[in-house]
Formats: sequence, structure tokens, C-alpha cells
Amino acid sequence: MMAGRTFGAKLAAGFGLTLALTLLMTATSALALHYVSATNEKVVKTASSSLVEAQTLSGLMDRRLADFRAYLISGTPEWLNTVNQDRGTFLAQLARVRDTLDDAAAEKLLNTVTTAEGQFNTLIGQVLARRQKIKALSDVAQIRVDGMKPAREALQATIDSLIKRIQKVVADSRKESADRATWAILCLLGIGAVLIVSSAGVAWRLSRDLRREVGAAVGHIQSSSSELEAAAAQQASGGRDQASAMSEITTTISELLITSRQIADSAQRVSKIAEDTADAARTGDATIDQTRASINAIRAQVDQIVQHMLSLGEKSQQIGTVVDLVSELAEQTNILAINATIEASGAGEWGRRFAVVAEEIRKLADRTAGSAKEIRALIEDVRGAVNTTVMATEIGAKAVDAGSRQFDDATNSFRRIVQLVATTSDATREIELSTKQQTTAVEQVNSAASDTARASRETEASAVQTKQTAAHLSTLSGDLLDLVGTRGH
Amino acid sequence: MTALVFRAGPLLCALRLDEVLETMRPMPTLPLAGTPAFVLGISVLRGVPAPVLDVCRLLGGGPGELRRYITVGTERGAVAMASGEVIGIRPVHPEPAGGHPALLGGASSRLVAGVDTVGAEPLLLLQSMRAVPDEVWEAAAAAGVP
Repeated sequence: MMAGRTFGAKLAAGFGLTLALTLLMTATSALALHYVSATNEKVVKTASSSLVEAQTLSGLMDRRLADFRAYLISGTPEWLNTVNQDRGTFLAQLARVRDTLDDAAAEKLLNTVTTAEGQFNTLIGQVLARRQKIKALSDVAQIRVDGMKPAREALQATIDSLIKRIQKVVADSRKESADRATWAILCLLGIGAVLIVSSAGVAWRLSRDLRREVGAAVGHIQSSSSELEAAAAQQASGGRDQASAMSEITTTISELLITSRQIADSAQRVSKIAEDTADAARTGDATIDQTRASINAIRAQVDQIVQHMLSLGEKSQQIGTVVDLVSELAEQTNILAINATIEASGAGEWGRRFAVVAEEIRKLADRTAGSAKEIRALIEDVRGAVNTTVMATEIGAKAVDAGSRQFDDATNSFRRIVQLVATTSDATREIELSTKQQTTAVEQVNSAASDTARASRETEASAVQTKQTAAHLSTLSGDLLDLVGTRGH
Repeated sequence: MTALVFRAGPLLCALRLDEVLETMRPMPTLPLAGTPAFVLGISVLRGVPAPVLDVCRLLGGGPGELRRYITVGTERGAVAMASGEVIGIRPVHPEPAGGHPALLGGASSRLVAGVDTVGAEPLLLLQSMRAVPDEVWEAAAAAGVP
């Protein structure tokens, strides 16, 4: 049940159990004392009240008889009153005795006493009545009442029986009280034995656990102290190595600090160059805009040339249409002239003259047709030249477009370069700033490395101290093992 | 003698001017089945149907460029002769069959009335009335053309 509990908890549980048993012992003792005390009180009560009151009855009876005799002798009313008062006192005593009784037999005897006293008092009343009638003391001896003596003896006997009964009750109570006291003592002895056994068990259990657990813990402490001693030795060695390494690191960081400062200076120069490059790029951007405007103007001029050449082609086509019409008219005129000549050939002299005119007309028509043919050829040449020019111009326009696109690409590349230059400038500034921060950080690291070297030396000294302390702790652990008696376990 | 000189393919030909009725551009021509190869078909000229002969095929046997129809009057109506370019009206002085009728062949001897020269080229003077065989007119009558 106590497995897994700490030794402190076990110790507390043991002391708690012992304390509980002690409390039980104390409570039991208190109860036993109370019980014995109640019994004794009952005995004392019986002895001091019932028995005394009962014995008082006997005394009152004697005093009543004495006063009765005094009245018989004196015959005075005072003694008569005294006798009467004695009976009242006796009855009152009977009542007190009845109040103190708690035994049935005694109460029954008390009732017998009451009855006997009534009979006796009746006889006494007869005697007193006779005595009142007698004047002379010598006549008193003549008073005879039968049963007076037996009644008095019976009353006395009943009183004695009552007293004996009460004495017996007292004796019984005393015996009962003695028995109860003996029983209480036995109970206390039993509980004391249980308490002693439990305390011994708790002590044995605590001692065993102390030896086992504390011994094991002290053993662990001893082994841990040995390990701690070894670790402290190793730590001392490591501290020396660490101090040496930190010295080298400090030297390296100093060199790194110098290099960082050189990098910061270089980054500052690169930043200046990048800013100059960005300014030159912005100047080149204006030139690019001008060049782009020139290219757009060339493109517009080429478009106008194309439009003019296409218009020239259309005009040539219209001229060709007119020439075709002229050629058609010339051909028709040729046919008409020939037909006129044919008709004129059969018309005599006038016909011959007309034939001459018709022949001239035919020749004119032929010349017109020839000229129209030449014009047609020229127009075809012009159209061919126009088409060639248009094609060449379109090729030129495409070349201009391609050049414009390439220029756009070049412009975009240039602007990209400008952006990259700006980015490079920003990055260079960041590098410059970072390098300065790095320089500051390296200085801080250098300081921290120096502190670390000092701390390493302090750690070494502390490790040596720890080693000594661990050795002392190991010795103390051995002593403690001897104390708890688990050496060699 | 005055004649209308024209080209028929590579040949330079002439027709007597008093036989020629008119020159004109080629008109729509319907081909006729069962006719010789030199008959292009029949065409309506001035409201009158007339057979159309290809002078180049008639004389040379090969195809030639057709640029004019030359109508010639015969006893049985006008005949259109498809030719090349019309050169004009020239005075010609042909010799009958070039002096060598046997060398010009059988059928051809009936087509060429005489031969003259224009520059370095020979000029064939055609006999149009004899150039149209009867089968042409029979074919034209069979086509139902009035």
C-alpha cells in the first residue's frame, strides 16, 4: 500500500498511525476513567447517602424511644410534642431513604419498615393516650400494652434488614466498580500493547525503508558524486580547451572584423558606382524616348508612302481602263474604216476617194491602237513598279515594325537594366548597411568571445571546485551509508 | 486587183475585195456535228445564219488566233471566215497558183487562186466561192437554221 510513496510520506504515515493509536489510547483511558469514576460515584452515593440515611433511621428510632421514655417519665406536653415531632422526623427520614434507593429489594424492605413503624406507632399512640390520663409517675409502670415489644423489635429488625440490604448493595457496587476498574486497566493494557506493537512495526518499517530507500538514494548520490567528479574533471579539461579555442576564435573574429570593414568600404564604392550608372541610365532613357519618336515618325512616313503608292496603283488602273476604252475605240474605228473601204470600193470614183479617207482613218485607228498598246504596256510597267514599290515599302514597313519591336525589346531590356541597376544600387546600400551592422555585430561577437573565454576560465576553476565538492560529497555519502547501515548493500 | 489582206495563223492571206461583205469581231458560234475540222460552226450575222470557217485550219491545218470574222458573199448566202488580224486593203498582183499548181495539192489548189508577196512573206489570194464544200451547207440545213 505504501509502495511508491516517498520516504517523507511514509514517515508522516508512520507518525500519523502512532499518533492515531496514541489518541485512541488517550480516549480509551479517558473513557475508562470516566466509567470507573461513575461506578465509584455510584458506590459512594450508595454508601454515603443510602447507607447513612438508613443508619440514621436506626438513630432516629433510638432517639424516638428515648423521647418516648422521657415523656413516660415526665408526662409533660413538651416531651409529648417531642415524641410527635420524632415520628414526623422519622417519616421524613423514611422519605429521604426512599429517594436514595434504586434497588427493588431495598425498597420492598423500606415498605416493610413503613408498615412496621405504623404498627409500632399505633401501639405508641395507645401508650401515650394512657400516659396522659396518669398523673403519678408510679402509675406509669402499670401501663401495659400487648405487642409493644414485638412491634418495636420487628421495626428494629426491619430497619436492620434494610441496612444490611443496603450494605449488600454497597458491597455489590464496590465489587462491580472494582471489576470495571480491572476491566478498564486490562483494556488500557491491551491498547497499550497494540500501540507498542504498532509503534514497533512502524519503527521497523521506517527503519527498513530508511535503510533500503535512503541507502539506495545515498548509493545513487555516491555513484552520482563519482560521475560528477569525473564529469567535473572532464569539464575542467573541456574548459581549458574551450578557453584556448575561444582565444583562437577571438583572433579570427578580429581578422573578420578587418575584412568586414574592407567589405563595407567596397560596398560603399559599389553603391556610388551604381548610383552613377543609374544616372547614366536615366539619361539614356531620354535618348530612347527621342529615338522611339523618330521611329514612329519613320513608320508614319512609310505608311503615307504605302498609301500614296496604292493610290498611284489605283490611278494607273483607272488610266488602264481609259486606255482600254481608247484601244476599243481604235479597234472599232479600224473595223469601221475597213468596212467603209470595202463599201467604198464598189462606189466608183467617189468611192475611191472615200476609201482613201477611210484608209487614213484606219491608219489613224491603227496608230491609236498602237499608242494605246504602248500606253498599256507603260501602265503595266508603272503598275508593276508600283506593286514592287508597295511590296518594298511594306517590307520596309515590316522592317520598321520589326526594328520598332526590337527597339522596344531593347528599350525594355534597357529599362530592365535600369531597374536592375536601381535594384543593384539598393542591394548595394543594403549590403553596405548590413556590412556595417555585421561589423558592429562582429565587434559585439568579439567582445562576447572575450567574455566567453573569461567565462571558460571561470568554468574551469568552477569545475575544479565542483570536482573537489563531488569528492567530498562521495565521502559524505559513504559516511551516510554507514549511518543508515547499508554499507555493502 | 484590190484585196483585203489578213493573217491566218502564220499565213498572210487575201480575199478579193468585191467578194468581201464586212469585217467584224468574232460573234457567238454554235459548233456543228459531222463537219470538217476547219468548220467552227454556225453564227447569226446581221440576222442571217452563216457557217463559220477557220481559215488557219483550212489552209495550214493548225489552230490560229481568231480576231476577226470576214463575211464573204456567195450564191447561197454569206459565209464567215474566222481569221487573225486584218492588215488592210492592198492592191495585189497574184500569179495563178504561183505557177506551180501541182505543188499546192489537190484540195488546196481549189482554195488558193494565186500567190503574191508582201515584203518577204507570201500572200495567198483565196477563192472564197470555191472554198466552201457542199457538206457545210448540208450540215447547216440539217441544223434547221433558215
